[in-house]
Amino acid sequence: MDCTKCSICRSRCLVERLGGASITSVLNEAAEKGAWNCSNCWKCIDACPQEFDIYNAIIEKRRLEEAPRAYREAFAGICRNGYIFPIEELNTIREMWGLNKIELVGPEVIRKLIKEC
Amino acid sequence: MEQRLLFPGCLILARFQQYELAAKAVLAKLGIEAVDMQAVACCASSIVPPFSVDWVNLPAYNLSLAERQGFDIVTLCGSCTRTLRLTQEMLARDAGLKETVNRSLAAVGLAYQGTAKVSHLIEVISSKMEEVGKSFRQKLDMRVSLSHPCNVMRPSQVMKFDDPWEPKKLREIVHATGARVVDYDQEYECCGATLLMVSEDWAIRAALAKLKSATLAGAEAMVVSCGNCFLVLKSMQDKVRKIEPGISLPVIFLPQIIGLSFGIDKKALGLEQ
Repeated sequence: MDCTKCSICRSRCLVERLGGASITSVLNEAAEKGAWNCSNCWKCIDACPQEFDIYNAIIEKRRLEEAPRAYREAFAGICRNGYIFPIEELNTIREMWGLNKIELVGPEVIRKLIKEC
Repeated sequence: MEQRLLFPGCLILARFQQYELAAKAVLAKLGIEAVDMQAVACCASSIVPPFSVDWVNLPAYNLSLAERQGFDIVTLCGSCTRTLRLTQEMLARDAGLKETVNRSLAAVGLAYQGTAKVSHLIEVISSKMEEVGKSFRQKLDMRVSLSHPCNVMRPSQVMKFDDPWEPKKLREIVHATGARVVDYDQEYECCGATLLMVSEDWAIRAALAKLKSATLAGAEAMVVSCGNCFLVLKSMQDKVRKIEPGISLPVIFLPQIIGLSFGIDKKALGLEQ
């Protein structure tokens, strides 16, 4: 179903409540940009009476907007070693907690799966 | 003993080892061995999709690792749970996409079929309430507030678990510890952790709203069951206090509070190192 610009999603959005513009502003033509401004709570999707595909709208709109630095760095981390966060000392830390060492995925596998890496 | 693969997710793997430790200890009491997932990668979360048309390969890779071992998955993070379940739904719906994904997975010696069930820790524990009752040893004399992990219930068409607006399952589990669950007006609001990626100010203000509301309601601690909630509600409390100096609320992972009621040693729950 199409978005009817009813703004119900905006009324549920945390970013909007904090004074920002999110995908819900973009869909309701209240802002041109904001697709990256999202808390990942997905209340907009559950609130939508039209069952509009907001998830894919977010992905499409994000591809048209410049990604925030933290997202670019997170993606670079995934390409580098398969994880968002630095995990170089992971098995040493796990040992300190009494957790077993684990095998890490490595960049070769990631490059075969994600060609943009 | 039943076995499940533990999918910790990047954040818990890198920073919150106490959550993994406590989850394993509690699951063991419930008759489930949480097996480490070797060569596991990031779930893809909401991070990878805008950057890559192949993003679904990454969660499909993780799911196919579990299938190869023949185990279902237990997750600790809301976002990982949603991403893995969304991937399963996409691949079940679209045979062409599944074929494309399987061509990519063949390059790393794997294949996706769609046989591994993915459940968050809340779902697993709530399906074992009889065992929870049997392992109960001591009533916890404390007042706690709850922070529900958004992505375990939403989007409800994908997650199909609990009430997406006022979830009940976490409350039922925490009730079983004897702790008193305190209602607060921000209980069903998102913690805001993901906003750290775009605006620290927004994330801190979202966390402040929850922490302040829970404190005013008389909570002595907040129970979380997602690494992202812990990150903003606990690890960022110093920054919250710069706006509201009086805020100081202990934050505890779900298996830690259950483990205390089971009489498990604090060190084995990651509450003392």
